[in-house]
Amino acid sequence: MSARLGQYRMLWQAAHAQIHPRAQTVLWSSIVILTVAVASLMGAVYGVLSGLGWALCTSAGLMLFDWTMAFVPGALGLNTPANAQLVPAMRARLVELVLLVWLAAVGLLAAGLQLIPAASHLVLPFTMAGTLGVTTLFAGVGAGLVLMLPFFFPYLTEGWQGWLRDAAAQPGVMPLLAAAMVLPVVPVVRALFPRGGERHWAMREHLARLSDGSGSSAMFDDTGRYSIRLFLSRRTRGRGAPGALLLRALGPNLYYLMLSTTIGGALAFTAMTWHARGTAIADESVPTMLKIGGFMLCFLFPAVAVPFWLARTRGEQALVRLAPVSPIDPARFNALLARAMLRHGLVIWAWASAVSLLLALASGARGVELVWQACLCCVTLPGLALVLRDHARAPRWGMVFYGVAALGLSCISPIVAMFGAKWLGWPLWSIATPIALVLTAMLVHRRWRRMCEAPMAFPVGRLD
Amino acid sequence: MTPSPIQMCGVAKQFGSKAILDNLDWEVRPGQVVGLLGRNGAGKSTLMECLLGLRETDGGSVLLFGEPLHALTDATRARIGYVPQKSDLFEWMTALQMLDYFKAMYPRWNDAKVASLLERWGFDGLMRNKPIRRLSGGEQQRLSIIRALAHDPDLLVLDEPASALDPAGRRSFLSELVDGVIEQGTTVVFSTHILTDLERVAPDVAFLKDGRIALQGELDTLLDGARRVIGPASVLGAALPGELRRSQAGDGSVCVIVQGGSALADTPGVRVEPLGLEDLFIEVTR
Repeated sequence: MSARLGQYRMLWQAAHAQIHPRAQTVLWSSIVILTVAVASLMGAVYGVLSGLGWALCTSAGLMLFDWTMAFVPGALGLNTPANAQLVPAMRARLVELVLLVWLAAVGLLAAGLQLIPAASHLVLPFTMAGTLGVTTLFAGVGAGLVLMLPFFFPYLTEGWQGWLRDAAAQPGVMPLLAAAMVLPVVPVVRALFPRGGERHWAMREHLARLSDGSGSSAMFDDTGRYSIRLFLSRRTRGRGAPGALLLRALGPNLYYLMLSTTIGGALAFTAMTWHARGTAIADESVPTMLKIGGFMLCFLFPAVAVPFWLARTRGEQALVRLAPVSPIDPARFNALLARAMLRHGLVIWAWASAVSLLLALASGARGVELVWQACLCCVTLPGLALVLRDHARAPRWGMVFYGVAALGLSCISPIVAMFGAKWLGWPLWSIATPIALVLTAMLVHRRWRRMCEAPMAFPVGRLD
Repeated sequence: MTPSPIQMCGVAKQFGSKAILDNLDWEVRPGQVVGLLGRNGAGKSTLMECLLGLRETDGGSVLLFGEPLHALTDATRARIGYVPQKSDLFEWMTALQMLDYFKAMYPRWNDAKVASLLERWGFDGLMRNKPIRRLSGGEQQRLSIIRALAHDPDLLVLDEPASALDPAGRRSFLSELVDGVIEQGTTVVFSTHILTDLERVAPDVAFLKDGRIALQGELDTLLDGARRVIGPASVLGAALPGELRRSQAGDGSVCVIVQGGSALADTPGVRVEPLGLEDLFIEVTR
């Protein structure tokens, strides 16, 4: 292996290890399992060539997801000002590797889309822009907002959407569009990896606030004083509720998470209702409902990432543990915490689900369609079990990892149900929902027991 | 002619409206070992970060081994070692993984030195395979120093390297610095508040005050010539040769800090006192 390849390998591994020690294992096994599953399913339904196309698209999609959510954030962590400026070739190799992986994944996606006859021509440029946009915004590069514009496509009028689709379908437009999207990649990636300087330090601070356990929340920096006031005003009530007291050790972020979920949900509801006035959504209710459901359930992921927030307040947890209201027995303490966290997760889930159902109702869904929507909400329930674990020993994961784990758990019941539906001939959701509920019950039971048998949860990660 | 490892000319740096470095000129010659002194907040870390190009300067120029910071070649970067004040290691890696990682990035890597330092500084098998975040502050600092020394740098910049070390660790670090680094002819710039450490290893000192190098020279020469001259204002009215600072006491007497000795030692009513490094530090940086 040449020295350069060795450096690429080292950087790839180091970047992933930052997200989670087993991030690479999860990535490669997800790619293999999902690619084989999707390819065989699509191949059986639409033919071999389509199956191959889906296989390529699935692996490319997962690679791009990993690139956006794990590899680049990890690589940003490696690129400290001192390393970027002083370690020979490190920054150059990082930039090269980030570009190579992205181009390879995009190339794979382009090849896969060619083999799927019904694929929209806009998928490729939108994916290219979206992955770059999310990454740049994560790194705090404001210019990345421009690249997020494709996400507003669904909000265009039907006429504009149709015009764009037709334009993209013209011969030669797609390669031109893809080439145009490749052009900004080099400056964007170089901007992600500065070589020292004030912008680099500012970026480090931004990233530390987003992901470092010691930092405060990036989003809620200016609102801390309100949380203190809130804490003080609720102190009396908290005395009677030890579980609430324990949960407040999560810091103000959790409160604002709830608040933002509520406001975000309400705003989304208003926006979608306004957008759907007329018949746009009602015309294609089922796919739209799925989109709405998926969008709304994104709000759930912060709920399953409670352990991530918990890792931010270790110092305070020691004080909470010493407070007279906290049970001295580890099992009781952990059970109290588990109950509080589970209740908190269920409240967020119930809220997101209710908004999702209301949206479906407003878009004209009735009867069985509403039931399907409720089923869609139910399949996300297993993710809530993630909050139950041996907090004292469990390592801190990146927030992305919780999202991926929740997504993985949410996908289990629909994937199993796909085969069940084909075999039994029943509707997919009628099988997926009971499977999800049973899976949730099993996971909660097992993890609850493990958490209660574990050492005192606070301060979290002390036995890691 | 071999270019100086560090050449700073007219360097300025501001944070907001506060000037941290103000038209600073500084040169460190090959093989020189300089202890950088200054009060808390004087800008020692900023100076080090600016001289390495980790922060942009607002004015002036910096050359490292004759190369401007924005165009440092990989070969030159491989000649520089840096230990930041707060060890900036990859806390999710183990010590061995981190060292392997950097080994892959440097053209030369002294495996024997790394192994020897790991052993001498108490990194047993368990510690080497422990995630860095689980090491204590002192252990992380030691690892940071090993990392900086591993590629046998020609220029070593250390920002308060011993601040987190216990006395035994500090002694061990200083002996490594003297035997393994300074005696090899490496240029060393290091900041510290522990003046006894400085006296043990640094032949030269530089005092940073008000954004400039207020005083620089060989430590022995500076200490030999540093005097506190106290006397009546009538005698000490005019500026003395080598005068660094002057103040007036409540009783009307004048206290003058001079560098280079004082010819007034025998003048009646005038008292001349030698200064130790701590006194010199306080007087120069006041």
